[in-house]
Amino acid sequence: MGFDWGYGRYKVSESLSLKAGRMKYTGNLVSEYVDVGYAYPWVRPPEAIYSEDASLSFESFNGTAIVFSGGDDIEYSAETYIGAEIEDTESHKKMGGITLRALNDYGEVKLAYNRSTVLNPGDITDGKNKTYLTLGLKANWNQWLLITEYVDSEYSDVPANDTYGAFATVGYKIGQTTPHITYQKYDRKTGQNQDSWTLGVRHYLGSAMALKLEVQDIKPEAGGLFVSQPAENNVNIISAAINLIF
Amino acid sequence: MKPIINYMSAAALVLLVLSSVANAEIAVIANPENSQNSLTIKQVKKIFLGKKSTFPNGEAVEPVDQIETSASRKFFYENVIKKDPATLKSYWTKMVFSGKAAPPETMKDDNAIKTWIASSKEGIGYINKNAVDNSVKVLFTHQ
Repeated sequence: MGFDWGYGRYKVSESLSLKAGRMKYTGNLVSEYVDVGYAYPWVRPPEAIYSEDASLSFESFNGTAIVFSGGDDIEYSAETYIGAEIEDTESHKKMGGITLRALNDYGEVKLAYNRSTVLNPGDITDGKNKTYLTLGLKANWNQWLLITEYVDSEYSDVPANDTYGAFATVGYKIGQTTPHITYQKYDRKTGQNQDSWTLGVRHYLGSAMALKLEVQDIKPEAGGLFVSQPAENNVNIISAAINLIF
Repeated sequence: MKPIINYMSAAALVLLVLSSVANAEIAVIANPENSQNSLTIKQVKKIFLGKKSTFPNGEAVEPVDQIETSASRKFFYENVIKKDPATLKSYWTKMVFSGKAAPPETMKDDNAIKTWIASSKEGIGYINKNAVDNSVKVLFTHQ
């Protein structure tokens, strides 16, 4: 049994809070609400960064955090945390990091650094230190929407497992409908790379529903992010989703 | 005779429609004993979007919404907060799931807001300008 998050928050002042308990990883752009489809335009958050192999392998961890926040026209926050996440396969111990965020009416910038010691019995990464650096940007201007993120993940002593991932999404809002296009790139030193283009549309229906449709063209190398190497050089995926909020 | 009646009914209907559009304007109100005297539109936005939990004077604030079908709410979010319903829902989804804030409670209509404000020192809400009376203090009106 496990739960997503549950922590105590103590507000020291208007600009300083302390958290302790089980909390979500905050470093990626949509990591705090990665399971809530209604909150982003894609059917799935881009796999170059959010798939299991590309990401930190956990969404929540146990730990303590200090959060500084403030600002008026531009709001800012800085969160530093320490903690651990123990799981059956890959665990992260002695983990610490910092997430910096700035936002205003037109967008958001996030810069985060996470460092941990990985436990993965039987795997080459067992006992190695992992650093995970992310930079993300969201912007809206009139009808235009831009979401882009870059992630660099490195292991000490295991350069073959170093990866980087990036995506850029551009969308245009027409009433309740937003067509969008996304380019993703994932590179792994072992040669399992992939890049893809996705064309999609998100339509809000009524007051609590989002309908989504996407077509994706993926070019994997040496399997890319796929569990087993596809027979073709080009993989096409059509996805549809309905997100409800209540 | 008939054409004149039709003409007058049409004119009356137009006047009725025009007046109801003009009278959709809202006022943001608080308890008359609240020491805050006015708010800028930015301050109103921060309070209703959960970014500030206090009035500028430092006192705690508790904002309250009207239900989604209310005309006052539609006017308020379209003209003051400037977020359409889907964008607002998406905003609160992100705030709730990242543990930052929760949306305000909702009440049925202008009268429900006024009744609640009368007994709530920290309360803040929005009602139609025409519903303003001595039981409330106006902190902001949409021009």
